[in-house]
Amino acid sequence: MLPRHYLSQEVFHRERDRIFRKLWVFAGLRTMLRQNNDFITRSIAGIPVVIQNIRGELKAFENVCLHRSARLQSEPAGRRPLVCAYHGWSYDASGAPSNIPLHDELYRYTAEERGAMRLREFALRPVGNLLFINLDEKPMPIEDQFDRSFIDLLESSSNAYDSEVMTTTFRARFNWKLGYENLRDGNHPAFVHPTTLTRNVSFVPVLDEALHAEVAGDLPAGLDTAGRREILRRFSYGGAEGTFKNVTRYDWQSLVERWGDQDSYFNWLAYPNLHIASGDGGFSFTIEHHVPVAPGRTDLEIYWMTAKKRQPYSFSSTVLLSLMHGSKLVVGEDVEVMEQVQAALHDGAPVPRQGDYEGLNKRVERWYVDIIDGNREV
Amino acid sequence: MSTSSTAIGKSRVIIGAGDMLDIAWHAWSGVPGEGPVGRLEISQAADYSFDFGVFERISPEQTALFIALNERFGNFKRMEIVQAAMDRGFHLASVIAPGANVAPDAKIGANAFVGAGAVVGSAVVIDYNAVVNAGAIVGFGARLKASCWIEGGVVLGNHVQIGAHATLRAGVVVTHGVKVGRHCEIGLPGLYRKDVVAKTVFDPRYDEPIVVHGG
Repeated sequence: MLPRHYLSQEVFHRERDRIFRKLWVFAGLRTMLRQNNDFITRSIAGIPVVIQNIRGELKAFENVCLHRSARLQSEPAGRRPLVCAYHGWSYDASGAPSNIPLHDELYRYTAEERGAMRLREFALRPVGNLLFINLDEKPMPIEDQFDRSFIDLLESSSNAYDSEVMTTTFRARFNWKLGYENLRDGNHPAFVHPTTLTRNVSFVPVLDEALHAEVAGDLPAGLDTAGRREILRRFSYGGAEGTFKNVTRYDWQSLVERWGDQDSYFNWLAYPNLHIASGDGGFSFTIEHHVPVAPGRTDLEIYWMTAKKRQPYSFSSTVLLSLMHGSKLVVGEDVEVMEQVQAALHDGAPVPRQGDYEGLNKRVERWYVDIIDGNREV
Repeated sequence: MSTSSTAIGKSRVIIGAGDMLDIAWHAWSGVPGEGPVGRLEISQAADYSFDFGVFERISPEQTALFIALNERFGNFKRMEIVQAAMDRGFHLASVIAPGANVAPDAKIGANAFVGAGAVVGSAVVIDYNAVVNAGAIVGFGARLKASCWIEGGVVLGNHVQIGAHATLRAGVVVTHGVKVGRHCEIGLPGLYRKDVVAKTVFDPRYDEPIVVHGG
């Protein structure tokens, strides 16, 4: 792709409107919303969103009070009714104000005015333990975005997650797309992670001739929405990608219900910006959610959880911290390279010359260019 | 002060590894009139498990024991050796380095350590297996729960409470009355004026705090 795809504010806004406000994107974990009034807040495609458990029902609303635009929930996560702290307006599961303190004395809205008040609600779709949100008024079916087999795989693996979740955010100085181009590049681990990830995991880059042939030319002429979505569904995939050179077991692994029994490194890539991995064959999982902040800035929201505990054990958060530190090391190596790439970009920078093995990236890129530069709908 | 003292007639032995083994050995050896201190190094395998065969070289009846290990794995590895010692019937002593300034009414638990130059104020309670490293300051009435780790250069105000297995690193100042939750790691130097929720990690290598949800 061209340098402007990574540098331009205009392109960034088009991505927001045509991709992130149209597609299903990761929003959080159901395990963080198990009790009445549990909530999480996110900024998704520039829109503040609250996802709240209201008497067992998960609802996604714009996190903005209808009265004076204060945020309804101000913390990243917690347990609190959906009540604005500014003037005490509270909201029900339909997004309507259920109580406006001193309404009759101070506000005096007509019944019609009050009846029309509704928080903007967004479509929410659980896939196992993962929550996906769609900001579009007429959301596309999630099955148009993700293949059924991929949804089943996400569902199966995410249902294995434990409810204890460790999170943090890495603030990175690169465009969000670079992260996924890197993740789809099977030839990078041996060079970028020689003393960390690949010390014990073998990733063998392959040249897929069929894929190479598929992406050799331009997109088929006259491609309609259904055709673009058929291509889109191929962007998301998951499964075993690396094999272990040595299998080492740790005490804590006997304390959790492992997902599957395959000693492999698992990756799941859900377009546009969700990466999940299990680096120890189903004993633990990490989510990397690459949140675009600006053309040259991306927040990597990192989650770690083990597979479900058989029973609570005292050092479980220390296990998660060890896993987080491993992530900091390996993802940190990726971030360092991506930031160098981003820093070298300018309007006249040379266009990357991709090799034949990079079919996965070519497949995404020609679709992306069609959407962004060709003014197409997803 | 109230300490878990060395039983009369028993020989003193430290089991541990790394710098902490040396630090504790020098500290205990410097306590006058109690004879030499033996030291046994414990080894750790690639899966981080310990070789507890080291306990076969000493007997619970004749040994006052101290376990010396750093804060690795949230202080749980040190606790793991402590547990193995207790399972074998060993009496665990506390070690107060010569030069530590500990108030007479401070209570120091079994296998707790206070390093040289540390100041431990009046009415302080230091639970078992907690470590106050050389030069740390613990204010009046503070409570350090089991297996926590206070580095040199840390200043804890009056009535501060430090949760079990918490780790506080150099340059951290906790003001009066603040509670730091269990399993926290406060590694980012600075002044902490609000309670810190359990399992929160402030690590200078990270852009944002690390937090834990659920359990």
